[in-house]
Amino acid sequence: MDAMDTQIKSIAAGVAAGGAGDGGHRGRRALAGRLGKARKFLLGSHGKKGALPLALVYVVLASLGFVFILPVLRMLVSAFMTPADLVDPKVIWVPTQLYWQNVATAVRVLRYGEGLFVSFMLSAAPALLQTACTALAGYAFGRYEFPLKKLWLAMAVLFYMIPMQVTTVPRYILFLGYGIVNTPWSVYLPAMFGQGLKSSIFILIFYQFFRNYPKSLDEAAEIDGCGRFRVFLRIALPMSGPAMVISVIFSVVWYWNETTQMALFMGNSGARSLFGVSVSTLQTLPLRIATFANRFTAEMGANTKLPDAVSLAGALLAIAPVLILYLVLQRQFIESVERSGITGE
Amino acid sequence: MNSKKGRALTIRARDALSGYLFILPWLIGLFAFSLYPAVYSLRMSVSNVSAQPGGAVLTFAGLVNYNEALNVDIRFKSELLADMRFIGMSLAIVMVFSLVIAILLNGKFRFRAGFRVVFFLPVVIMSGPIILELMGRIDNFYFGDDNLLETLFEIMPTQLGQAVDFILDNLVTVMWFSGVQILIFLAGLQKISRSVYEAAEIDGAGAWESFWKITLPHMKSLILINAIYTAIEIANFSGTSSSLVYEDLAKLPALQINRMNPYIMRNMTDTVHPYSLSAAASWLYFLALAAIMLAVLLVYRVFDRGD
Repeated sequence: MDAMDTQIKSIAAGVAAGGAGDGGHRGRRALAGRLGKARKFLLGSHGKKGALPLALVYVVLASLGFVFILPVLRMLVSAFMTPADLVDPKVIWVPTQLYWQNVATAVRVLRYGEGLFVSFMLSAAPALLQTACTALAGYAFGRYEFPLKKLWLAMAVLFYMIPMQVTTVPRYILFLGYGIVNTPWSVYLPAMFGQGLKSSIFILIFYQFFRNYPKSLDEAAEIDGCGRFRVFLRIALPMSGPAMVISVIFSVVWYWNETTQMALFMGNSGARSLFGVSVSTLQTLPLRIATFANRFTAEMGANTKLPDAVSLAGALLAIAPVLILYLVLQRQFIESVERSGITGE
Repeated sequence: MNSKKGRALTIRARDALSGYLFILPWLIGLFAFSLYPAVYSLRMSVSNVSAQPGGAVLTFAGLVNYNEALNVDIRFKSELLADMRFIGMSLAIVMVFSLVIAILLNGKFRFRAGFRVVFFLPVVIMSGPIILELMGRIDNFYFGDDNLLETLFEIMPTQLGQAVDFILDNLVTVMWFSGVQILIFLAGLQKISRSVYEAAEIDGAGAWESFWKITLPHMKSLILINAIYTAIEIANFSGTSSSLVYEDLAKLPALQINRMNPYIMRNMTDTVHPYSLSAAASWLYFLALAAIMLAVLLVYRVFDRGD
């Protein structure tokens, strides 16, 4: 105890002596310099962010990002937990073992392979059809002057603003009359004719894009004897990369996630064949999630209780394809939005 | 089009012809899948519909269905009001939240790419049943029921307390609606030249002034676009998947997401007013939504003139 006391005293004396020895003037200047540096480091200076604002940015982003990442992580982790882990308060984030049974059960309940195929056919195909139609229309709106153009553009915007459910009922009756309810045509036909999910947005994106691109290119090709449709196909379309990427990617994602229309038009379809492959139902994966509890009972018998972990494993399986698509293409996602001209010039 | 015909037509006529040929598929679709159903829906809303073997038969009935929805049905008005409240509140939350996140993500710092991946997750995971699955099971992970904050709001004046309580209850869910908006704001922010900020800094403007005088005016039109997008997105969002699983709606009150959608779907097969009550309800819903968008536009105008 005593020894420590003397040690502290001697250190304090040493510091005081050092400070005095340096001379008051120099010491003060050094202190000011050091303070200035600290200030610069903490608050930042010209063009360079300081540590404090930067830390604030990290804290805000991390805590808000937490909100998005948490349910996804939770789902991911829970899907691989044993029933014992799930109720064990000590196991929160790291399962004691990698438990595949939940996923296996969910695969069985969802009929995952079939669901994947159905979902793919009902999202990728309409995405391409919708992109083709809206690119054509957007090109015409951006490139040519024709009577009533403003009216049709206004119609595109107006019908985007009318909630889907306003036209859903008559659409249903109409489709019933055409005999395309519970067939994939109830999705393909509207997509093909530019009335699919949020088609108007893509028309406006293509319109904006083609309005700003150099017309002289088209005109040069036309003078060289190229027909107008060929100009569109060979010159305009290849140049519209960012707009195409946006249209295809977002269409796929939106179709994949759409459930209201899908349930209404295809939710009750029985076994049928889809592109030569026979499937038990046309329900997409998210629809199978909506009816997961019933499916589970049908598969496992009424006496088995549906564990949360299996539900979450199912949800994980249903979004895994778009999640992977997104992680692979995330650069394109962001860059194409920046380059498509949505935000104006 | 061959060259002979091309010579016979003026450039204007050729442009008009090409224009219409290019939009033809979309135009057919507009009439077949949007315009016709919209008109038909309007007709149904003022008719008695009876389902016959040959199709639906409509007889004019005036505003009976509107009256039914507004004055007779006990659920319509309360669910419409709940939806409007939800849309209005979330509109404000989503706009502020997405603009703040976009500005933060626009800066230069480490792990920016990683943060972007996280914040755009809602763009891909925006499926009703999935959101219900995630939020329904995980929501209380964020805020317990009897935490300190809740008690604090109980002491507040009722109106204010309710609003704050509502925001807290739905914050997490609402934030999931802001993926695309962050993306659009971010794209807009990238277009503002750095030199504008540098010039302002030399003139002595701080970050605060820069935000109000440079960032916000540049973002004005995007704010309008995003606001409209958000309102429509939430209006169209359906936590459940139509009449199929209307029973699952028992989960909904806790989440407060869009009740009108399932209401309309369920009433499609109403025994007394098949289709027609739904049609009237959906048009009333559209009117309410239009009122919200009009309000957004008015607010935008006021701010626009203010500058």
